[in-house]
Amino acid sequence: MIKASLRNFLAHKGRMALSTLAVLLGVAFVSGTLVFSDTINLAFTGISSSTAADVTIKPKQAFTPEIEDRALSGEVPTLPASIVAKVAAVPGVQAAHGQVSLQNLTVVDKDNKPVGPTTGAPTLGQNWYDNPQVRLVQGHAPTKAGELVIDQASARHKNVHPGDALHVLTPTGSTPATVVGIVTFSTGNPGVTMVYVDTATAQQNLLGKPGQFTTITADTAPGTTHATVQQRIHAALGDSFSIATKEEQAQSAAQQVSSFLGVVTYALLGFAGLAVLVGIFLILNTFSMLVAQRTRELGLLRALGAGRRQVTRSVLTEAVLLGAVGSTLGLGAGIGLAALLKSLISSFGVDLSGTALVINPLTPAAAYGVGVLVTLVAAYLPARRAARISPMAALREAAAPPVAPLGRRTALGTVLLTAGLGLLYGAATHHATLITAAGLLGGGIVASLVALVVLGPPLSRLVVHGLGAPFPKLFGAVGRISRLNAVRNPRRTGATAGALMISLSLVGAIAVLAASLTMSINRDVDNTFGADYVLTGNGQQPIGHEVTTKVHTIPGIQSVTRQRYAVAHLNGFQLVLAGVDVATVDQAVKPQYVAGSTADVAAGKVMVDETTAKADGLRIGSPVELHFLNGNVGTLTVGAISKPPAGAGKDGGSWEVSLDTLTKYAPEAQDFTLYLNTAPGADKKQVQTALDTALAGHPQVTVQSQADYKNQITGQVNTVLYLVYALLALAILIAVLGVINTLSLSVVERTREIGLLRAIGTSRRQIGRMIRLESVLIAVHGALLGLGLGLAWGIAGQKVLTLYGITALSIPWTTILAVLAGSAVAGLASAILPAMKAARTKVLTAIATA
Amino acid sequence: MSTATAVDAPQQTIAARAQGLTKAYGSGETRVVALDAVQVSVRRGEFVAIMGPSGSGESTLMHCLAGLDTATSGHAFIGETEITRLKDKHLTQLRRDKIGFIFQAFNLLPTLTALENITLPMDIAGRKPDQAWLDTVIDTVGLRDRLKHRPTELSGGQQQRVACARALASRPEIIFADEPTGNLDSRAGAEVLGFLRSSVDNLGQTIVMVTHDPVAASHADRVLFLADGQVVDELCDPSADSVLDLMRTFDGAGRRS
Repeated sequence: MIKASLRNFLAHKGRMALSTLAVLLGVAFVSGTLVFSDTINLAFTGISSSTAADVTIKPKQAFTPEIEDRALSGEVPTLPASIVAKVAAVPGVQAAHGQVSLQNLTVVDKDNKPVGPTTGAPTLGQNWYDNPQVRLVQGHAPTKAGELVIDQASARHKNVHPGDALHVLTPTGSTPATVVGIVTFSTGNPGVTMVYVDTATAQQNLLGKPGQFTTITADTAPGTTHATVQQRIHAALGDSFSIATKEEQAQSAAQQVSSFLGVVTYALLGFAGLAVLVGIFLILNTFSMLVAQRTRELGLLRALGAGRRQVTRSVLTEAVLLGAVGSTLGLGAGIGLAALLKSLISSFGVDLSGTALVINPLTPAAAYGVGVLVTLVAAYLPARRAARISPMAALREAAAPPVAPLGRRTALGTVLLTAGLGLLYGAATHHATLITAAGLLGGGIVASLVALVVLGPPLSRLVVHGLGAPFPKLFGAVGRISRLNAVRNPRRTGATAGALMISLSLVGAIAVLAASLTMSINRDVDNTFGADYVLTGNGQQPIGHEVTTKVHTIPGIQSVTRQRYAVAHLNGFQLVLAGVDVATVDQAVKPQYVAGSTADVAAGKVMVDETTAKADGLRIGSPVELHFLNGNVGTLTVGAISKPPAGAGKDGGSWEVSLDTLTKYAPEAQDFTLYLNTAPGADKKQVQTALDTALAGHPQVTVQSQADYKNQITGQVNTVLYLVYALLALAILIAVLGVINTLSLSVVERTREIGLLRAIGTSRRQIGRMIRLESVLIAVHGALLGLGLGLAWGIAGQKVLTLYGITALSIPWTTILAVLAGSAVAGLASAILPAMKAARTKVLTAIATA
Repeated sequence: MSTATAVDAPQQTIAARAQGLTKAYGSGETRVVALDAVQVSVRRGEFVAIMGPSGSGESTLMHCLAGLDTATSGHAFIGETEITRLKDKHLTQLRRDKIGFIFQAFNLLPTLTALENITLPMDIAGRKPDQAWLDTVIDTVGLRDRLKHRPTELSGGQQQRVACARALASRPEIIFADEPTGNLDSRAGAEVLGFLRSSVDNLGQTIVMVTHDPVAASHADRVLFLADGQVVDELCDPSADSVLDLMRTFDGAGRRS
């Protein structure tokens, strides 16, 4: 039987091609994602583990903040230089170095153009000390104020040479320095810019704290383990420091990278899963058709004594073969994809050339697991149907595949659909608490999706019939035949359209949510944006007091409202606390209070958004105990509750106090945002010019008006939206392959009919049109169901997310109509090859095939 | 051998004609001649049966005359149109407008009703059927009460009658029938043949029918006998017995069969 399966598989390789391609695409996405994330992981952890010192001593923090919030406050924890000597004196320590290490600096050249990367990778600054991993390749080390060395990659990239005058900008101010040397690293550089200055300058100018270091590193003497030295240092210094060995550093670095990469990996795998799911429909259709075409042959096998199980097994063996071939090709394509991504991100300045592609054993296992399993699942139903073929089928003249009635399916689907819509309605109307609403929403999405997949065949009759209603009038006999052909096999049409439906339902839902989010934010901005200009730093970093001072002196600016952040823990969960100038905040951001007022915030109380307040059970007068990063603890009282901000809310909610209150607990927090209001009657043009001049030396600061701000938010939403669409395109592509697959197999099945039509005078052009119209009907049918489903999900989702400030519902009809029109075009495109094949049908051979 | 055909009859009374029609497959050693310079003509209003053992070229002759197959050399005419010169587009139009077809089996579209199948050639051409004529045809084949049925709901004989009605409905100049009774039992076959006969007698239709059945052939006005790609004999006003007798003489003549 295995031989028979193999022969069959090879005999039908043309028909298997599209199914193989579907498996290939899904598997390629899965394995590509895995290989790429493993490679990045290794590249970054490899660097951090090889650069980490034997033992690293840092000031102890109350907790480890989330990686993306680390730079918000601008606080840099430090330890006094005196510790270096204490560490050096510990037995087993060969040398101890005080390190000033700063992230997110800005380095500009004499034209005020940034020298560092502008693509998101950080610019780092350090004090110079003898470090074997850093090697001078040109010039000399910085020994006095005004000297600087820079890494070779950045120097080359930005055309910087020794003797060039640069400025290093930090929140504490701007430091002029001349390039005196160029360095390389023994460990490779994944795209950051590094500058080194002498220790005194680093402490005084970059850090703003003379005599302080951010980190102390210790090299252990030969023969002593890192752990032993770690314990001895701990004994010498006491509990107020965090002391980590090289291994611990590497491990925590690896964790950070993988937790960050994990999100991306899971998102990509999610899309791969979707593509695979859509592929199932295609494979299911292929096997159904193959089994239907081979009814007589399978009947013969049964007549010759093959058992039902053997028949099932022979079909499933073919599925395994298909899965294996598709997975093998997919794995190869996935590795290619990862290589492509690797070279792609190098053009964004992340240089991974030092790291080879990492293929963990898990990757091929996942590739074959996914590929083979998916094919088996998809082929299971057709295989069972094959087993039910009676030996009599071999003897019958024409094997008419029995058409099971759709009654049970319709009943089950209707029940599910009612339940699904009920759940969605429930989610939309009972969104008091997020957990219930999210549960209802999730249940509703799953139930309605399954319902439409189940209802696919009976619905295809209904919808295609309706859609094709004008076809006989418009296209005559050809129109009528195409409309009838499209619903001839409702299961096949249902499955083909189902694949498209799933992909497009997501497009619909995401389009609704994105449009609603944009509209809500715009409305929010209209309501709250009271300032004329907003100044923020690029890359989630504070802008520093130097900018604040400069801006204050500009004539025509009436008020400058400062905002700073501090990271704190409440009941073990991290939140970001904002501190604002209460005197002018009403004018700058028009806070939307549900309870309390700015006066309460000015009085030292805390403001929290309504959703967080509800979730945490807080009301006016509730005490909140905040643990700050630097160890300070403050017990504040809730004095005001605000409307939740649209989409801009930070994890853990939106919390605000007065600047005075914030400074009390986080005295080193830096200005993060500045809201500028111009004086009444001030010449806006003059103010703008003065502002531009003042900020010329600060490329890290962005100035935005209300319109700029809106554009930025819309741009961000659209970027995410297009990225999601691009990933969904894979699933849509596979769905379109499914349409091609169904049409080609249908054309083969109907060779005789097409021959007859040609014999009695149907032109090639008419035959082609017939196939194209059928294709358009199937595609638009799938799109209609998908978009309908997506709209329902999107609307229910928006209602649930009112809790998160998506208060406006906006349905992007243009997008929806464009997708619908696009699906018609996709239908036409899918029909190109099958229509060509059908039009080329040779009349005589078609009629002669008995 | 083909002396008996009325090649030089007046043009306007000729519905179809073959002149030195040759069809060969392959070349050199493997060359197989299906039609060997066949001369045939069919008068208007005539019911001609083509007979011959399988492989004698009888189907090929019909296919070439009907514009379904292309000849290697020679000429075929439908009316005064030389179809051996036509490109696919015009050939298709010619089949649509001037020729009716009845095949052995599977010749209806399963998705269409009986009536829709009958009017299909006109629908494809985008023409309105002549309702009076259509009624005549439908009544002649006796399908009035089956018009809404789909092919799967009809018996084999009824399906073939639908096919006949389809061939007739567009008033073609000529109908080609390829073993129209081949898949039918004798009673249903007789019905179809009677109907073809009456369409010639009463409606003035021209019919060319390929058959292997002497009884079927006996309904024709004239029977042409083909062997080895050539017309070897013909019989006017045949009866089943006379056809059978003639067939025996061929078999007796030492033909490899």
